[in-house]
Amino acid sequence: MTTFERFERSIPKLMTELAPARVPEYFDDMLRETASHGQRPAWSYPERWLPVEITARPLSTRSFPWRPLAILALIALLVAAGLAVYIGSQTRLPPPFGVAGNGVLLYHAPGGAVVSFDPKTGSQATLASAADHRGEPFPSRDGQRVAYIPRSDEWAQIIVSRIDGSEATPLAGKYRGIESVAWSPDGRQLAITSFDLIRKSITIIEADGSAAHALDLKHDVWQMAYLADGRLAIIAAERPRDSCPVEDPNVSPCALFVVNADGTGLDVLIPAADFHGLKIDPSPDGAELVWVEWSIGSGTIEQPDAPGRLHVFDLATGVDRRVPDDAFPALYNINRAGFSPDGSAILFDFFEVEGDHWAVVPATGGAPMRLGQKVPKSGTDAAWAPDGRSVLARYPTTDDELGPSELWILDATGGGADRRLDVEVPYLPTWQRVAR
Amino acid sequence: MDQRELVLLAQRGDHDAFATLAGLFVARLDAAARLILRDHDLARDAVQDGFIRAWRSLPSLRDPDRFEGWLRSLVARSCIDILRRRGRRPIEVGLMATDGPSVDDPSVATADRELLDAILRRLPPEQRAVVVLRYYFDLEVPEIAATLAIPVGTAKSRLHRSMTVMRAALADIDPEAAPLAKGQLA
Repeated sequence: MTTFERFERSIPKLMTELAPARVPEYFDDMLRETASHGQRPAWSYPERWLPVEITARPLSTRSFPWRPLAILALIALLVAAGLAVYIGSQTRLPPPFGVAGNGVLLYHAPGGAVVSFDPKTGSQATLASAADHRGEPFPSRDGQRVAYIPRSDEWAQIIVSRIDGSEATPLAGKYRGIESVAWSPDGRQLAITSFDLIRKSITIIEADGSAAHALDLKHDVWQMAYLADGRLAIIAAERPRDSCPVEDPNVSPCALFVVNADGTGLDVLIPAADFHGLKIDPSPDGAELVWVEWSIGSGTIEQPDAPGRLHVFDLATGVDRRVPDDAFPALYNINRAGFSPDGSAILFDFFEVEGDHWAVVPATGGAPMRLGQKVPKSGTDAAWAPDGRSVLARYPTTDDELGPSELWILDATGGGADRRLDVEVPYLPTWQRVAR
Repeated sequence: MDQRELVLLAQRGDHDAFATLAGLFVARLDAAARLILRDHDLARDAVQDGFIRAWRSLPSLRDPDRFEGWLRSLVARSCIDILRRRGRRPIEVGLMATDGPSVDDPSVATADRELLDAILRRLPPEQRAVVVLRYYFDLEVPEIAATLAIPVGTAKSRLHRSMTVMRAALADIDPEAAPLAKGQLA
């Protein structure tokens, strides 16, 4: 028995010693006090007649304030009219989360140029030439700007430009080994995870180039994603001295945390003991996270001790539920998953004995719908289109994951209207969000 | 007369029945309030407030068999309310010396007691309430959540953080103590 276990077992007893239970000296006074108060009759309690879920809601019982409401309504009307005039004069932007319109595809061409491609018209435009040495393009949530993320092990700057490539601005700091990138909901900052000599950490970078600061989390951070409220959900080592992830599938050092974007308020959502997480993705309304439970078997389809399974975690209640897989085959595995833009479905890589596909399943569970062709080689990648009606998938066609590939737009509605794009890309392009 | 009958009588305005019920539970609730609030006077206020609320709203209790949990919930929430009204100012007054039962090794017991005292002082009030409900009343997490009217996840995370603090405190005095802390935070 460890010291902690011994101590924990003794806590009830220690508490009784620390605060012995005895009738307090104020007991009689207290009873006199209670007797001086009348009881409310039973019939006057809504709880006697209605379910507690209803009666527990705060009620407004004061007299109806007609006059202030009328004034407020008038003010609201004037503000709404002003806003309508203002908004009408502005560029329409998509919301930072949720369903949006499909804009252009952005990608880093094999020669080094950064290119935009309109899948509707087939037209292309060069945002930056190879000589500009820009990284992989990553459009902002409002689709108005692009961050170029260097994918090398050399120290390099991140650059942000307008969506057409103009007004390129280098951001503060140099980074290497960047693993993940996310635009903040308000578009003012970028969060990245990268190696800082010792461990993987999160750096928040002002998108106007003015500053950058690393969050002092002291935990090895593996993945992160912005929530709609501006906080970050992260997978990180539960203990500061551990690494996350580790290669030993029997060890689970990583926990699911949430943290404010200034590094404060680090809080465990799911402790490591309950979290073998491979991949997280927040729902568009920020209420839930989908995560993939890691295989702790040998990692092969033949030995699926606890193969990749979809889980949905409710951020408000802390309740974690496994997505029902009754309609799935007996043997399958999953590594990656992401919510659809409307939050109703989950896209995932579906590894089966008969062959691998990209697939979608309702977030509440149900039959998986396989999309497109069988995955021919390893290294495939896919993402939802901003409108949620299709999925962009890249399939390497050789053993070189960055080599020749096919790029497809897969119909996620079940209509089968898949189409191949005549574009050669070493990575999966990113899709600009535009107003619908 | 059993407890259910006493509750039914008290619900009909029988204050003597209520006094009998109060006598059954006041000692442990007072002790719990002292553990949560770390102050005798505040504990008195919380218990008194809880019992007054109980007497006044007893007719609203739909299930007499749930009286004990309901009363515990009222006192626990009174504790939290008092702390909120005080604006979370730290309470420095310690608990009185104990006259609890003897133990096998008095020095170990005293050290453990002092350690628990220090740990409770280190915890924020909301976490302290969760720990007291868990260990003093032996409640499970869903019951704790219901008692404090908080989501189960919140109760779970508060308990988890409390455990982390305890492990850290133990590690401070005994570095060999355990592979520390699933969930230890910086």
